[in-house]
Amino acid sequence: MSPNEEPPLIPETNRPAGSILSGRRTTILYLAGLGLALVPFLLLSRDLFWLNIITYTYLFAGLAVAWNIIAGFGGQFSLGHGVFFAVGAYTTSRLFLTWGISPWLGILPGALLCAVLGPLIFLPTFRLKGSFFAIATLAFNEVAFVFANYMESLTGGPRGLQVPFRAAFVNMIFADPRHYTGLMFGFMAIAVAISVVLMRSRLGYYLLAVREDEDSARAAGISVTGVKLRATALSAGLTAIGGGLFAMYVRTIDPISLFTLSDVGVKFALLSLIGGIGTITGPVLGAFLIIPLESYLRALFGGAGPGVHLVLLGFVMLLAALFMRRGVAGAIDAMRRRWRHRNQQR
Amino acid sequence: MSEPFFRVHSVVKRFGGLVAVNEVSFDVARGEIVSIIGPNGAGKTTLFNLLTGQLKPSAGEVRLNGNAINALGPDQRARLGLGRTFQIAKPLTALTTLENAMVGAFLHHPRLADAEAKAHEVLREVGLDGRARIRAAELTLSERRRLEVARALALEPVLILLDEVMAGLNQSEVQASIDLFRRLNAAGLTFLIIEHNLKVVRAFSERVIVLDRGAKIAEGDAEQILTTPEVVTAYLGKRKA
Repeated sequence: MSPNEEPPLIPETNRPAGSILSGRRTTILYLAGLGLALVPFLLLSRDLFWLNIITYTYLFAGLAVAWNIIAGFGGQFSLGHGVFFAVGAYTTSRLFLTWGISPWLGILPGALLCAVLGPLIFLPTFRLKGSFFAIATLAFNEVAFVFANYMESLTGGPRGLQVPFRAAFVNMIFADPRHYTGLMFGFMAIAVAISVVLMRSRLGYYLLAVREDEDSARAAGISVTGVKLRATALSAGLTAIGGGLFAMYVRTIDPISLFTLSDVGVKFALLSLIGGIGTITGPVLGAFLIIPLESYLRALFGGAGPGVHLVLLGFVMLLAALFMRRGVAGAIDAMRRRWRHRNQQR
Repeated sequence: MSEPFFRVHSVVKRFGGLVAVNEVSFDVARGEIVSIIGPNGAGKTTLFNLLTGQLKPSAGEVRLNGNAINALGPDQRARLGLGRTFQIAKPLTALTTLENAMVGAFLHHPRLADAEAKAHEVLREVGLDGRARIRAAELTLSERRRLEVARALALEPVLILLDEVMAGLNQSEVQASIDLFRRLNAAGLTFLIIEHNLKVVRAFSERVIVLDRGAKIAEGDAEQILTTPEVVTAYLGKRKA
């Protein structure tokens, strides 16, 4: 260890990614898992309050999975993914508002833009290690926030953009809120599928190698920078798509709602950390745990005082950090191994 | 006269005012086994890092198969057939033994199934195939060393650089390693190794290069070198080998 090396931000994940991911059996498990994720939707689709929460849960699960591609598997702890989210949201809305382009198509330019923008801004930043990288990405978020406020012609400035309610499938605006839920579920499923395919590919293995030890990775013939950039492009593009979907759901976007870190950029990280960073299921579990909890606490205690629900949420996260260092997925994995080990001893 | 397979020509490495490697030159012929020995701090690992591309030389040239590789990074050199192991075995602990080997195998076998097959092949070669599904974190030291070698072998190298690969191994493990390397050498792999264990150097090397304080002080046949007075003094103090 060189004297300048600091301990990694991401705790070592004991889960051997490849062996969990390969094989038909695990594909079936993932499909079953997605089926399970549908259950809350099916049970609570009549309650508008919970339906909204479930919609957000699916969306943020997908976004956390997208974030995890470069941050969890790649080891590049970004707190600037809010930028990609916002670019996706603004691009999709703008294309729809000004040129009437269907969001089904409109999400793609944002994704492509971020697939280029992401590597561009991350490339010089990759030189920084650990926390410094994270802080630099925070700066991107702040710069983009100022930019969004300033470029009124593009982003609508501080007022933002409002998409009028013209319900039609081609507009990605639905009268029935359950269709939005289905949309977000689709996004989550696609994000998970992309992650699984990635981690069963050469790029996925290379990504893990780069995360673990860059020198060893180079000695194995891996172009470290190339791998990081490709993973960034994928992660950023996917996040932008999520942003586009978000824009068509809430239909009113402004710099505050897009760039407030605790709601967006940092939340992706938080969900993945709590659920288990560096795994496929972790970000999803994190979203399923935190988003409903947060919304429920806000509804329950929102009146008691400003930010009371955030304090409680922070407390939950503190507990997770103390007792579940590898997140929920890691805790489950540890229990499984202990159970298997105990069985072997009988 | 045709150019030698691997040529190190007047390589220099300076860190500020310190000259860590001082105009070291030597050649390695295809299929040879060459050891680099020298006391601690002689610059062996720095030289190695210059050869693998982790460090760029301050002066001098390194050529592999007639190509100047000075400007190439470690990954590019790996792609040209230069494999290396690290002094401190660094397996990818989040992965299994097989997956570790696959990381190397992917270089020439981009498809998952092919890489897996190649990985099994190199693991069999080093005797680790039985531990393929074990998490790399659970391997013993000797197994980790062998995994390092396996990962380098998966690159299908023409030249392999081993950095103190015998350190910490017991006698039977050392012998098993030597047997393995002899097999690989017979199949055409060229070896350049840093080694402290003189028994290994005697048993395994054809030629020995001695470094001391960054400079090459002797080069020649293993047995002959190890009895040269300068080498004995520099390396071993006044004790006999």
